[in-house]
Amino acid sequence: MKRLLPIAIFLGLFVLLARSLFVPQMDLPSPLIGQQIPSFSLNELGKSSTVTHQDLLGDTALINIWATWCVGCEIEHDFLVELSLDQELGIPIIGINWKDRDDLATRWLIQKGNPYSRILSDPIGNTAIDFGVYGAPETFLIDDQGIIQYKHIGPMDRQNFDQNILPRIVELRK
Amino acid sequence: MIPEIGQLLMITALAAAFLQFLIGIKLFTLDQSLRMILIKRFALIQCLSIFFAICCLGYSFLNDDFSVLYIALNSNTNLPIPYKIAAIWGAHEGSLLLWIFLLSFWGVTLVFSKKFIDQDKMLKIYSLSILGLVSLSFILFIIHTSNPFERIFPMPDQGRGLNPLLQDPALAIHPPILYAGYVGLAIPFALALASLLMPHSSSWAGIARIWTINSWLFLTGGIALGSWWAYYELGWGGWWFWDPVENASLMPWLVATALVHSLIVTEKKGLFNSFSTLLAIIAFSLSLLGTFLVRSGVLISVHSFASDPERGLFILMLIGLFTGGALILFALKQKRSAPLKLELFSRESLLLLNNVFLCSAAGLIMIGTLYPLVLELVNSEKISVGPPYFNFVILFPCIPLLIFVGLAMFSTWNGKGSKLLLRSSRVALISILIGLVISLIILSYDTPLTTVGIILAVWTIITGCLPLIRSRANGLVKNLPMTLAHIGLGIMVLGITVTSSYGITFDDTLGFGQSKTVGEYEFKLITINDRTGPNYMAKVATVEIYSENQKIGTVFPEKRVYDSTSPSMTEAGIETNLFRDLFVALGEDLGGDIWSMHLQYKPLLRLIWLGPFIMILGGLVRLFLLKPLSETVNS
Amino acid sequence: MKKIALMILLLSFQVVPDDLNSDLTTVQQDLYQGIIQEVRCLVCQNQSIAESNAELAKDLREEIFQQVGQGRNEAQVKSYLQDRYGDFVLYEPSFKQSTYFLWLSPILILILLLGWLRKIGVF
Repeated sequence: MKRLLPIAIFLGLFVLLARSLFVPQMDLPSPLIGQQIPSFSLNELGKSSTVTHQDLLGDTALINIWATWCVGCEIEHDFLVELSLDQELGIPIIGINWKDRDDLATRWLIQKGNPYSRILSDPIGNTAIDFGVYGAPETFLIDDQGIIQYKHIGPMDRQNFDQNILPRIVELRK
Repeated sequence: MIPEIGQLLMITALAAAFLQFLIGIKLFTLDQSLRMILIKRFALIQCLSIFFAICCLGYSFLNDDFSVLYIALNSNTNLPIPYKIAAIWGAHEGSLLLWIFLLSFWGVTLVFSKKFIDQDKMLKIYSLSILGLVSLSFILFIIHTSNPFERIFPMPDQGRGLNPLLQDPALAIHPPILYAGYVGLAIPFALALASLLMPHSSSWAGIARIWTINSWLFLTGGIALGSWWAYYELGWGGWWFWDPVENASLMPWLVATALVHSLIVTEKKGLFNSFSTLLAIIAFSLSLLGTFLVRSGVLISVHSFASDPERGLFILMLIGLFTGGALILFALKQKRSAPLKLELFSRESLLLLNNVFLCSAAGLIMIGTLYPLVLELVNSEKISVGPPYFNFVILFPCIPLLIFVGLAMFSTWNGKGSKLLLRSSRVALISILIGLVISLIILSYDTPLTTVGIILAVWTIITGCLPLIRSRANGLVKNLPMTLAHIGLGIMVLGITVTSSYGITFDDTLGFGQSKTVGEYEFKLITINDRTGPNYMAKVATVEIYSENQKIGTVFPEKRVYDSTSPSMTEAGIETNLFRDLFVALGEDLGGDIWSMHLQYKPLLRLIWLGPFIMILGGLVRLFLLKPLSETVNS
Repeated sequence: MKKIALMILLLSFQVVPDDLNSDLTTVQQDLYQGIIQEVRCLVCQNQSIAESNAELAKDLREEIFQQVGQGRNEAQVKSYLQDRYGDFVLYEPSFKQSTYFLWLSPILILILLLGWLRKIGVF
C-alpha cells in the first residue's frame, strides 16, 4: 500500500538510528589478525644491536606500541609493569617506542618502571605503519609463530586483559 | 541574576508554546475567533521570551560571566566582542536556543502575514498549534538536557575560549542563516499536517510555497556560505567534502527544491496534493535528522558538537513523534486523488520527473551517509564512504535532472510531448555546439564527463533565459525568478565542472626567494614574518604571483597558533577574480628558511558560489516583487 | 687544472634546486594529490590526510609521496594502506558483497522510481 511505504522506510531508519545510539562504536578492526607480524629491522633502545621480526618468534608474547608523549601510555603503564612481574603468567612484553627520542624514552622508563623484555625504537614510524598503528598505545598478542592473534587499541587495563587477552594466551599455550 | 532571568524566560516560552499547542486541540469549547486571537498572542509571547532569553545570554557573554558554564566553556576575556556574540550559538546549548528562536520567529512572520490571515481559520489554528508542539518539544529538550544558563561553581577566572575555527565572520553568521533554513521547513510541515486534518483542499499550497521559498533561500545561503568558508579557511582549497553534516544540509535542500516545484503544481492545478504533503513532511524530517546527526555522536564528523547519547535519544524521540506521527496522519487522512492523467512531457509530468531526480539524489546521499552505520551494526565491518563514492553516484540523478530541467522550459501545461522535443532540439544543438567549443577549443579536452558537464551547464543557462526572451514586457518580471534560479544552477554546474577538471594542485617546498610554476602561474616565496594578533601568534608569508613574468598579485598566507591546546590554523592567501583563484597555504617550517607550501590554480571557482547567489536573487524576486501565483493561474 | 678546480668549486656551491620534491613529475603530482584526498585520517574527525595536520597524516602523506615517486600506481598504494589499516582508511568503499547494495543503489533507485512513475500513469 502506497501510504504505508513511507512509514515502513521510516521505521527501518528509526530502528537503525536507535540501535546505533546505544551500541558503542567499534574500534578499527585490524586486517593483520591471522597474519605474521610484518618484517622490520629496528635498533634496540640504548644499545647498538638491531632486532628483526625473526628475533621475536618462538614465544607467545605481547607487543606494545608506546611513546612518552602519549597520555594513554602513561595510564596503562602501571598495569604493564604489574603484568611483567607476573611470574606465573610469564608473558614477555616487547615494547616499540614510536616516534620518540631514545633519551626521553630511557628516562621515562627509569622513572616509571620498565615492563619490557626488549625495547625497540621506531623514531620514523615506518614499522608502526606496517603494524597498522594509528594511535598509541596499541597492544598486539602474537603466538610463537609470530602470528598476530589479537589487537587492543587504547590503554590496557586488568579488565580488558582478563576478558580478551588472557583466554587467548591460555588457548595458545595448550 | 541575569542568567536566572534567562531561565525564567525559557519557562515562559515553554508555557506559551504549550498553550499555543493546546488551543489547537478541541479540549475547550472556545469560539474560533477567540482561539485565533489567543494562539497569535501565545506565538508572539513565545518568540519575545526566547528573544529576551538570548539577550540575557548575550549580556552575560559580554560581561564575561564565567559563572555560567556555557560561557566558561566558549568564551574568554580575550575574545573580540563580535565573537563573544557569535559564541552564543557556538556550541550545542546555545545553538539550540537559536534554533527555537528562529522557529518561533518564523511562526510570528506567519501570524502577521496577510496571506496567512486570509486562510481558513481552522487551517491557521491547526498549523500554529502544530508549530506550538514543535516549539514545546524543543524547549523541553533544552531545559531538560541542554540548558545554556546552567551555572558552574566555583566560578573560573578565565574561560576556555571559542574554537579558533569559529572566529571568522563568515562562519559566525553561517549557523543563524543555516538554522533559519532548517527551522523554516517546519512551516510547510505544519501547514501540510493542518491541511490533512481538514476537508480536502489544496489552499495550503500557496502559503506553504512562500514559506518553503523562505527556508530554501536561507538553506541555499547557509550551504554556500559554509562551502565558501571551508575553502578559504581550512587551508587546502576544498569546498565540499560530503561530510555527514554537510550531507545533512544538502538533503533537505534537495527536497525543499522539489517541494517548491510540487507546490507550484498543487497551487496552480490542484494536482500533486499528496506528493506535496509527503515532501513537506520529509523536508522537515530531514531537518530534524540533521539536528540528530550533528548532536548524537552517531556519525563521525568535523562538524559534530560534543556528542551525548542522552541528547541523541531525546532528539530521536522527537523525530519519532513528529515524523512518525506525521506519516501516520498522512497514511490515515490523505485523500485518495484521481489517478493521474498526465501527458507525456507536459509541464506537470516534467516537474514530477525532476522531483523524482531531486529526491533520488537526496535518497542516494542518505544511503551513502548511513551505510557505514548499517554495516557496522549488521556486519561488524568498518568502512568509509566519502567523496569518491558520492562524486560518482550523484551524477546518476543529476545528469538527467539537468537535461530535463532544460526540457521543462519548453513544456506547457497539458502540452504534448512531440511538440516539446521539436521545439527544444534547436536550442539543444546550439547548447551542444557552444559546450563543445568551450570544452574543446577554449579550454582543452579533459574527459568526456567534463565536456558533458559544460554542455549541460550551457544548456541550463540558455534554457533558463528562454522564458525571459519569449515573454512580453509584462511577463518579464513574472519569469525572472525561474530564470535567475536556473541560470544560477547552470553557473554553479559550470564552475564545479571546470574547477574539478582543470584545477591544478602542487605541494612543494620553497625557500625564501624561490619560486614554483603551477600551470601558467609562478608563485614566489619572498619571506616569512612574525605577527601577533588579538588572541594568537602567527607566521605570515609574503608570496608574489606572476603570470607571463608580470606580477599580478601578492598574497599573505598565515599559520596561526591560538593556544597550546588547539592545533595551528592556516589562513590561506588567495588571489582571486571571477575567472580563477590562485590559492596558497603554508605547510610546515622545515628549517633553514624553507617551508612546505600548498599551491593551487582553480579556474572558475567563484562560479560555484556565484550560482547560489543568483539563485537566491531569484527567490527574493519571487517573494518581494511578484503577486501571488494563484492570481496568475492559467497564464 | 685551475679551470677544473674552479668548476668543482662552483659546483660544490650549487644552490639547492628550486624544490626538494622535484622528483615527482606533473603526472605523479596529480596522482599523489588525488590519492591523499581519498585516504582517511584515522585520528581525525572525518578528514582526508590531505587536509589534516595530524602527525599520522603527515607520515602517511610522506610514505605515499615516496611510493608515487618510486613509480607505484594508485591501486598499489591503496592496497598497501588497506593491507595495514583495513577498508576504513579509504574513502572509496571497495566493491564487495557487503557493499553491492551501496554501489548499485543509484541504478536501483532510478529504476524503482521510474517504474513507479509509470505505474501512476505518467508514462
